[in-house]
Amino acid sequence: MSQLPPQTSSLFPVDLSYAHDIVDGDVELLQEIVDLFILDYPFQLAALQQAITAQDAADIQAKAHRLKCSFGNIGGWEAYKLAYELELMGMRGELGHAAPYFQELVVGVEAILAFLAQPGWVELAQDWQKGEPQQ
Amino acid sequence: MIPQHILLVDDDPMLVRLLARTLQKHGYQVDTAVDGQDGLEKALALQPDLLVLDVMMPRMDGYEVCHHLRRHPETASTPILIITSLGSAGGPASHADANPEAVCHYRERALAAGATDFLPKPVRPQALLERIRNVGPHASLSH
Repeated sequence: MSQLPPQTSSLFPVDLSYAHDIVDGDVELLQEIVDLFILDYPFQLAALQQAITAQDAADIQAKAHRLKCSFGNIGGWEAYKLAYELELMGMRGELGHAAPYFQELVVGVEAILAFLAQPGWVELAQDWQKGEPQQ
Repeated sequence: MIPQHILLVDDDPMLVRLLARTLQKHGYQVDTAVDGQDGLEKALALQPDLLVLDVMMPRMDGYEVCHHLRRHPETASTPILIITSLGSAGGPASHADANPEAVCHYRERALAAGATDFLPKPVRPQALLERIRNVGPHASLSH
């Protein structure tokens, strides 16, 4: 049984129903994907920060795009949207708000990591797929 | 002919793991490439039945890979399924936040580059399986 409180899926920083769905119920694969995310994101985040510091629009677009895909793999939609905004800023060369958006993105990533660090999140994903948890 | 040997070309290791595992579970032989240049070289060397190809990648983007492969007689008719999150604003592909105009734009661009079909990211493996089962040889599709 999950140690996490029963809430609606959208309240979590990770879309549990989506995450469970894309692995077709294979919890071991879901854990592998998350482990890869945890290994991969620091490099992607650092690369994006470096691009913003350098005010390199094309690089911001590329790095934000790559990070956006990582969030998409686990259903981290709020972070996904922020990365998408940064990608657009890079594409348009409008970098005035890139730094604050990046800070917001960092907060979003921290929320995802805090959630994934909790014991029982995988079981919660299973529960969501079964139509649980019960209130 | 339903493709049996698939080359996955994407610089996102999470997605590659996810899609490769799913395809292998369904009996496909899967090879992977980590960027466009690697994908081009492996496509020519391995001659897969189908490529699943990302667009934004280091060294060479997916459109350029498509152009190169269409110029080679060995890969001129190999089905290429382009996947990209370019233009994807957030949420799964069926999500209300998806931007249909942008997706349409990138679909047209993929087909113009020589792709056989197009699937927006985030890619649900089940949707990919369905596309793969229905894809025909490249020459049989008009665009």
